[in-house]
Amino acid sequence: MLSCHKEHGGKAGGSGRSGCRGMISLRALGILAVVAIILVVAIMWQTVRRDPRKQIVVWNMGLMGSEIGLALHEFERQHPEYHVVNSSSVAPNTTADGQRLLTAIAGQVPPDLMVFDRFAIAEWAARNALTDLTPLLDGQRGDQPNRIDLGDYYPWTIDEGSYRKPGTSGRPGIYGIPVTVDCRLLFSNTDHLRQAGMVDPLTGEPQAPRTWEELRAAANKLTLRNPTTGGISRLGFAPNYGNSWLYMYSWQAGGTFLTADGTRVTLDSPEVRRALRFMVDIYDDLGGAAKVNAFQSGFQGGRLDPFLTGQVSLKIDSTWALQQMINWNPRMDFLCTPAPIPADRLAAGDKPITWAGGFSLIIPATAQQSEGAFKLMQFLVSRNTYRFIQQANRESMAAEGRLYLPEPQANRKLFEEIEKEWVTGDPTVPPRVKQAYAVIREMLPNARVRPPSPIGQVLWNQQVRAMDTAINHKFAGRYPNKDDEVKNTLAMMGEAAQTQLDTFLQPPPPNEVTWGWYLWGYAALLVAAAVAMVVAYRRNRRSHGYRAGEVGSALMFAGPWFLGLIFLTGGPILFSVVTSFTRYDVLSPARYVGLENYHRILTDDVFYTSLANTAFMVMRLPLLMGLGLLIAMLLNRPIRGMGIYRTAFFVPSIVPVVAASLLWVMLLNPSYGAINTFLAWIFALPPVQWVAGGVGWMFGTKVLLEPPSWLQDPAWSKPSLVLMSLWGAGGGMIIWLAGLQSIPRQLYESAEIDGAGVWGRFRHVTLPMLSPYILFNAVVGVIGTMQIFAEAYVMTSGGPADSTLFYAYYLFRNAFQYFRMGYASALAWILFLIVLALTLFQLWASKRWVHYDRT
Amino acid sequence: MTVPDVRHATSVLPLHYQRPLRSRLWRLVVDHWVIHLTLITLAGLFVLPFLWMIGMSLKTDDEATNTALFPSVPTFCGVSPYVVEPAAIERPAGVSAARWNGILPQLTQVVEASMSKLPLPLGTPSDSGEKLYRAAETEAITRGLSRLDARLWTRADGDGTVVAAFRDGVTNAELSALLADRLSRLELSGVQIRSLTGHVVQVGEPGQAGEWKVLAGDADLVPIGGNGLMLRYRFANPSSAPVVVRYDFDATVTPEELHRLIVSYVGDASWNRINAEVQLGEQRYVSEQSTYVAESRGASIIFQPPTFQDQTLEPRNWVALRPTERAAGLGPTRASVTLTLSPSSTVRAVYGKLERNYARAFKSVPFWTYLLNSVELVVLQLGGALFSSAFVGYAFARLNWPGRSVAMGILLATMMLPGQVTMIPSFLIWRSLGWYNTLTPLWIVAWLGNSFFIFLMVQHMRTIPRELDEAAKIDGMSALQTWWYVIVPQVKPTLAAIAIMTFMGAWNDFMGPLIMLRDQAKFPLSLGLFSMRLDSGDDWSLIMAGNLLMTLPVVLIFFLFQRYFIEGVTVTGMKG
Repeated sequence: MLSCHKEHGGKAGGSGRSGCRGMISLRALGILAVVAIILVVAIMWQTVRRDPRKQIVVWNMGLMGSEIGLALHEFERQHPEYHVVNSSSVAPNTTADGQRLLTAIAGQVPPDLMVFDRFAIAEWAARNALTDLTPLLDGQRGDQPNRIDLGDYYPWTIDEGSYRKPGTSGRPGIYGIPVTVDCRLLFSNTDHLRQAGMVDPLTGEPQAPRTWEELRAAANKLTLRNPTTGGISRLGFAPNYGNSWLYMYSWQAGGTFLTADGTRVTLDSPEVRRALRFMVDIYDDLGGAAKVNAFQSGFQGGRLDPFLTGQVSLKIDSTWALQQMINWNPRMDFLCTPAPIPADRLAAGDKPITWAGGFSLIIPATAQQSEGAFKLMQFLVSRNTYRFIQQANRESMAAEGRLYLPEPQANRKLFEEIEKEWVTGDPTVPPRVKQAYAVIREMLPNARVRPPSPIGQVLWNQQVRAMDTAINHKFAGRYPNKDDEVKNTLAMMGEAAQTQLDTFLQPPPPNEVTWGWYLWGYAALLVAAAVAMVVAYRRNRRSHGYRAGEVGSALMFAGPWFLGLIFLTGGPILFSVVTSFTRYDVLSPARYVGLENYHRILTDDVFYTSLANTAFMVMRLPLLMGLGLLIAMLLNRPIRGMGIYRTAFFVPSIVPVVAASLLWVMLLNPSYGAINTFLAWIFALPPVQWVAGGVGWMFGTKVLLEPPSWLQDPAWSKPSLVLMSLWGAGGGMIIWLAGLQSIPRQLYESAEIDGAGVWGRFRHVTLPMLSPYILFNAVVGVIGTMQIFAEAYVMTSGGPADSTLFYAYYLFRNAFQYFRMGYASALAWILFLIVLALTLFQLWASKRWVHYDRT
Repeated sequence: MTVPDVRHATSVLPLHYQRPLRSRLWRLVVDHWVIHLTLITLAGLFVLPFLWMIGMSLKTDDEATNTALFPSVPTFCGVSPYVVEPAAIERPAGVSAARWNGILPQLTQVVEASMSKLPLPLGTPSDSGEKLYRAAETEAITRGLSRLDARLWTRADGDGTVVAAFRDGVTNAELSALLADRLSRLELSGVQIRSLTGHVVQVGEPGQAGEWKVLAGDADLVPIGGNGLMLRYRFANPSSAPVVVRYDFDATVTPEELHRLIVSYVGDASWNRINAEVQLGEQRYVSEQSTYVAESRGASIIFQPPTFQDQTLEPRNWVALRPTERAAGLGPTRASVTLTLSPSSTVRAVYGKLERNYARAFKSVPFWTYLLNSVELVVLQLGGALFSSAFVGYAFARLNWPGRSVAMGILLATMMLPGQVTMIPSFLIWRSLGWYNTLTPLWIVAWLGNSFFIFLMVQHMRTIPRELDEAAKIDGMSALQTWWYVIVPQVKPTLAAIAIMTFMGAWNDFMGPLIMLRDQAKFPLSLGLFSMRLDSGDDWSLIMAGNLLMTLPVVLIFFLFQRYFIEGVTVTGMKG
């Protein structure tokens, strides 16, 4: 008899079927009731409780200092009518966190006040997402206690947060009140300077390079190489180690990225070309970007920053690096100077320049408490609050045993005041830090900022890509010399940015989408589907053997899923179909453009690059499946300590992504990571050396065994990610174990009786019995891999040289960084079609090898 | 510890005992040696990176730039100040051993000559003067070599040039700094009070010895210039009586206005512990946790009585002060801080180091609030995923209905569209239901079926023989009964897999909560810890400690329940 009796043998055994039936309905009802109660309570639990005070929702406030909470509390104390809801954020800048703000604005629940990456302000303001603060600022009374006086600020900090449509004239709107400032300086390891004899001939004091020419010479001179392998063991200077990018060098060469009226992209101007050529030359001098990047530890800064550990001699970095140095290596001897500029420009009387960025306070356009938000804004940037926050930050840092260095501020008066007190006037601050602050004070008035533009993010990404492409010589084969290569790379990247700028500046397409029609259409579609089902039932009742009862039960069983599909999944899918035929930036209504998005995709080179990158990653599937199955088979036997083994294999798959990515950046670090240390040891073994020597002798060359640069090398970055995902194979093991567990023992027993060995049993029992699971893993694996995203989002940002720019990440950039949701939707549907084709192929092929139902 | 019962296991595989002897021996070797060896090697590879995380989570700032897997182990430190031994001098690259042996004594001589003219730092114990000079000399040579013009070694002029250049680089200022640096010591440098109105008062004049007094213990206070006051102490053994020092000052705030009291010091990395007692007028407070003196650098302790901050979700960087009974004595206008320095035995010091970053992680986020949210999400999602996958899967795998294959296609297809493009419309739906800023959208979807799990379940259910359903039907079971009594017991292994995957997914998901939630009080651990990355910048030790705190419960749950997940569900259906 069956399980009903088995389970309730004692109770239900005598009463037979009816007893069994009675039991189930009671029990089922009971279970259903309990579940329903839990769900209702859970939903009730979630309902928001009301507070009589007006809520001001603030985001990202942590960027103003860890102790911002104290200041917000003080504001509530002074203004009892307000309640400040402080919602922290997960990404250190708006551009990486765009999806949160964009969804909140689209859902009309934006924060009321937010700390915002200043450079992104223009882009959001251009799409009417931010409040123009000009009337609020002009409306301030002269005697108001927390009055904001823009005259106290460095003028460029105001300009960077202002916007007017390119090509128009008039007073730009002010969309952000600047708060913090960071600027770029040249940091030098003074010991290394002395070592290389780079000292002032008169005083004997170390002297940092002042011109590009000196910098390039220093880069070569300070770089040390391993005598046996020829690899770099210490890096003198890398143009893009730290924080400089192409922007910095272009400004130094006198170039800009946009014309003054903001309508033309000038990425290929002679000055920018000169700047990029300069960067490329240094990388080439040092043996190529892949080798050089090997010395950069994936993240900017950090505890094991190569500059702190003496592996890099010079770097151009932002002022935040100062605080890091003081935190993690307070005894380090360094020198801070203005970044070098070309000798001819220095001779012509140009002053050194710096590039500055930082954060501002903004109020989203649809904020519900904009009045309160402005009050809070005034409060936060006032002198009292500023000192209050700084004091609290200082206390908090001291409690961790760290010396607090005040971050440069847009409000010049306040910054100079506190700097005098806590840096210049404090005897415990090391002299080299004081000297650095002197340079900062001198450089700030002459700082450059990225041009406010509606396509600022595209422009940024394109200059990164241009630099990345050029220094890695991705197009080396296409052009006869470096100048042409640089020129064409810049032209190509500039053109893509120009296209988007033109699109933005064009008048919008005429027809707006009316969503109401689609809602009706969707309803009609559902009705049609229901009708089709009924018709199919009637017509095929005989041939397919449908039974009324069974169909009824099926509808009940599939009910939850139908509900989800109809009310939650179906609508958004339809929505994305429609938007793929529109121009849609989420912030303004979608407008039809026909097939434009699809046309553009086909001519978009990044589309092909990202597709190829993604396809490459599919290669990890067989490896992952094989390893997972191997582990599962090893773990599916009754031996001692199995719990420990299983846990050990499982652990990697539950490590949170942040920790895992930090971990792998460390492990894969080319110079001191564990993996390369191990490889170097292997390569140094005599037998390996003999083989290498033999191979070298055969081909008449010298074979150099050198561990790869992993994440920093475009050729190895994807294999690195494959390696990393193999570490998580223990997660897949769960599914394999489930599969192995459901294979009846009798099959093995009878196979054994038939004389099958280990291999025979695997081949003729395990594999066929697991085939549904293999199919599942293959199908789901392909779908998942084609949407691979997290690795690029958290670890690599698509680099180096676009080698990890995966499809879903490119799609994400379009949707949430470039405000091109329409384009992103079209990309999504193309991906959908590709994956669909792959899946259909797999399902079709599976008929030959997948084995269902043992009978 | 779970040690699977071997006898039970063999009874599952009775054939072991029916095989010829040779084969049984072979089995034994395979099972007990080859398998274990393979497993240990593989498991080691998988666990090694995890060990690195643990190592990183235990490091102090001073150990930040060192790449060793594990941090150093602290030991009992009974005497302070003490001399910190420097690392051995390394021979510069490319210099032969013979030449090095010739030149090193000359360099030592140069340093010694300058060093011996310098006074020892104030407060250096008389018996460690010589040792301090030696240590500073070694360090001075290392420093001097590291900045020597590298080309000098290759020039033909010989050792004289090198030594001369080395001599030029040696300055008295630096040597003094090195002397001071090699002497690890405990300095008291100042007391500040912050009132609840944000007013900050520096108590006592900086630069003056102030009113610090040693009340108990083998210790004395030595003024060392600047605004520092060195506390010299000696603990004969870990159970020695603690050193007690007190600072008296004029109370500038009332107990009602007191926000925090900040004691600044320079640490001696002794891992001894500081406790405090604060008296303000007639109100007395006692610190609730001890602070380990973990590093040789300037630091401060924030002591804070209960304030509004206890109700916020801000990082707690202070040591809580507990108000105790009122005590007369000082009068309403006087105040005092009493610090008790207790010795840490080696065990205690090790414990202190193990605990330090974890305690910081606990205090830097509202850990229990986040944990509660995570647990709520996990439980609700778990229930939902198990129910819906088994329930819906049955319709697809076992029942015959029109449109099934089309529906199956749609089910698979919904997995194929990248989530980024449906995020905004989905958000609009949730918001219109009034579920923005609640956890509901995050778990309710689990009850409506997840394509991935349904597909997995369908794949399993399809392998179950049809006869079971037929028999159930003959028995007169309804579809619901068949599902519950016949099918569900069969798919327990898959349910277990789904449970684990749901758990992991719910526990680690941060993108969903990020979009849906606004209130920090509703954040789950995943999002809370992810945002910690922002607040704590490059403090990897803290980030690793936080992430391990999040990972360990899952590891533990998996370890404890894996046999129920996997071994407890042996399939018996066919034997009935």
